[in-house]
Amino acid sequence: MTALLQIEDLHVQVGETPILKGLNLTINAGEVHAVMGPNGAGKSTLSYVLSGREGYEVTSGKVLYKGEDLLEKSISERAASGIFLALQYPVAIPGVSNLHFLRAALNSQRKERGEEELSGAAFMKLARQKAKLVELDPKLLKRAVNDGFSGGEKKRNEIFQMAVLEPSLCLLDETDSGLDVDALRIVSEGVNALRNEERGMLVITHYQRLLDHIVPDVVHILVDGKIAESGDKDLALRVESEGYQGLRA
Amino acid sequence: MPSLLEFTSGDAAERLASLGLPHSKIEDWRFSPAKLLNRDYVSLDTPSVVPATGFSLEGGAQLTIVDGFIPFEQLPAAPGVTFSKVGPETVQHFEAHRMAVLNEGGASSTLKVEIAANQSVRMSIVHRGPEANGAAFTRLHFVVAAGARLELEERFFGDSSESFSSAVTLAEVGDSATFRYARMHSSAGAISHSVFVKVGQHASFASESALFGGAMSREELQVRLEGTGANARISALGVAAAKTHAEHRARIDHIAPRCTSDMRHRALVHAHGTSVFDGQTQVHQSGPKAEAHQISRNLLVDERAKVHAKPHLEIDHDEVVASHGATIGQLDADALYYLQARGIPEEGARAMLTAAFLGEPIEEWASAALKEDVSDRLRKDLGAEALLGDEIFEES
Ligand SMILES: Nc1ncnc2c1ncn2[C@@H]1O[C@H](COP(=O)(O)OP(=O)(O)OP(=O)(O)O)[C@@H](O)[C@H]1O
Ligand SMILES: [Mg+2]
Repeated sequence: MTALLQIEDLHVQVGETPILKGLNLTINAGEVHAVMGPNGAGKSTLSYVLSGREGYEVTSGKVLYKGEDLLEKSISERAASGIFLALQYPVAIPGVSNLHFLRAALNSQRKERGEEELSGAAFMKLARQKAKLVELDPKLLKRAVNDGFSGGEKKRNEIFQMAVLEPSLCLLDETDSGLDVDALRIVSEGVNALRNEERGMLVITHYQRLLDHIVPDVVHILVDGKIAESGDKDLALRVESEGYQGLRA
Repeated sequence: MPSLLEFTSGDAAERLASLGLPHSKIEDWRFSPAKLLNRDYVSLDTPSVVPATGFSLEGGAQLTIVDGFIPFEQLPAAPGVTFSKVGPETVQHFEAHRMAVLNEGGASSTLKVEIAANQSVRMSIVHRGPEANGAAFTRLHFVVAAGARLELEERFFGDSSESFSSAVTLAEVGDSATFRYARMHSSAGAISHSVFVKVGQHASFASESALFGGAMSREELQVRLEGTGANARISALGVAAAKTHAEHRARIDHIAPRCTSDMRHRALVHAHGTSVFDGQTQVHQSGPKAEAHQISRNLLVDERAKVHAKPHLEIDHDEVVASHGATIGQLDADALYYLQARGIPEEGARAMLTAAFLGEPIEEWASAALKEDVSDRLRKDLGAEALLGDEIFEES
């Protein structure tokens, strides 16, 4: 069986500074992996590299996604092939409505995949249904993308987009930060609703409590650009009580 | 072939001869391709056939001006409007304003349009510029009587990059009257349009315009708020494609007390395109309790785009609320990444963000016809029409 995502000995630098220093990680379809680690360890960098963001230079190693070389694809091709990154800091785009943006995104992806584009009516139906799922205030749909949204609203909007786009590999970078307890539960339910046999998830978090809601199959500790330790969900509990001390190089 | 000086006659010809044509050493012409005015042009006798235009202008009195010739014999009949033919030297005397004097000397007559008191009138004028290296001169004078309302749409277009068009619009907005003036310029040649407006007590003047640059697209407004409580609102959009020049100049004088003014400019500038904004608002000693704002925002497609933006306020009084500023920058890299990360290809992402930048002021325009014509044009220019959709310029 081919893994959904297979990262081998990945080295990444920003400018002249090495950030990821030989990272290995394999995610199979249907699995949820959590990544924890100290500030600055390279967790967001990993998610950016997978999504194709500029400024992150892969100096060696490889990344296979559904058996194909991911790194040679453009950002939008990666998205169309099913990679979705819920950002740690979602971007505000004044002047572009959330609905218009998401419809353009969905239809661009469908076009790239050779599927038929969704009509305005069919899209609206889908958007309303998914907004309900993550309890996103319908008023936010008509506003400009993340413009003037509260921190929690932005995070919820990410999960809403994820629900509409139905990616195969979901990367969640600290989606739990800035969420109140109710929002955390709702967002987690939204994520859990997307869990299935085909989909893989990589959940970056600092807090064990998220993993009570989204129970991971594997937990990795990323320290200084490498996976220092992997284990089951109990590893997260251990980190919660002991910190990263024992894991630092 | 004659120089532009030789197109002028009468008293104005003498004034222009002593002033000389504009050149780049003159402050107001520093950033303009003044050399285009020092070329030779051919004079035109008979207007060519009136073309079909495709602009969305419906209702009201309609007029088409070809090669600068005003069809005095075929003026539309419109209730509340009186048309007349007057000499070009009437209304206002220009001593040192080169383009006004050139126009006065070059236009054989002025079309005077009077809107009777308390009447509400819609009117549209399409100007087709000359072909080849022809030169055209048009002079219009609007008098909006007390309590009246004029909604004027103008479209300037022409395909010849060698041509020259000179247009002057004079307007007097009477007490409590309204003049809403919407324009779109899409001439390939050199065009200079100067607008001189006097605004009376509690009267309003609103200018909404889009300038798609040609060899030299230069629009200049001079607005005098002469009556207490007068208001002026200017919203200008410029698009300078490669090798084109789009220039907005505006001057507002607060002469009377309690006047308000707002000047907004936005420009999209491509590589090897030039955009100029020169805004000047002066609150005179005679104009206390004023409110005056100015902003110019410029989006550069890349670093080879040229932008000169100069917002300027001069305030000779303490009791004034005022602001001014200018921004110049490229598309936000984070926003571009975000759109792409959601599956929108780079070209489409650029088009969407550019459309958003230009769409904001368009949404605020009161003229539905201008919104439509400018949005249509932008959708074509920006490409990625499918992504921009119908609603991009309309949705808030
Ligand atoms: N664009 C950049 N320019 C310079 N340094 C960068 C850049 N992006 C990342 N870095 C550096 O790379 C390191 C890893 O950053 P990254 O954001 O991946 O950490 P993280 O594990 O996500 O941390 P946190 O838990 O605080 O979110 C940090 O030292 C950071 O300063
Ligand atoms: Mg991070």
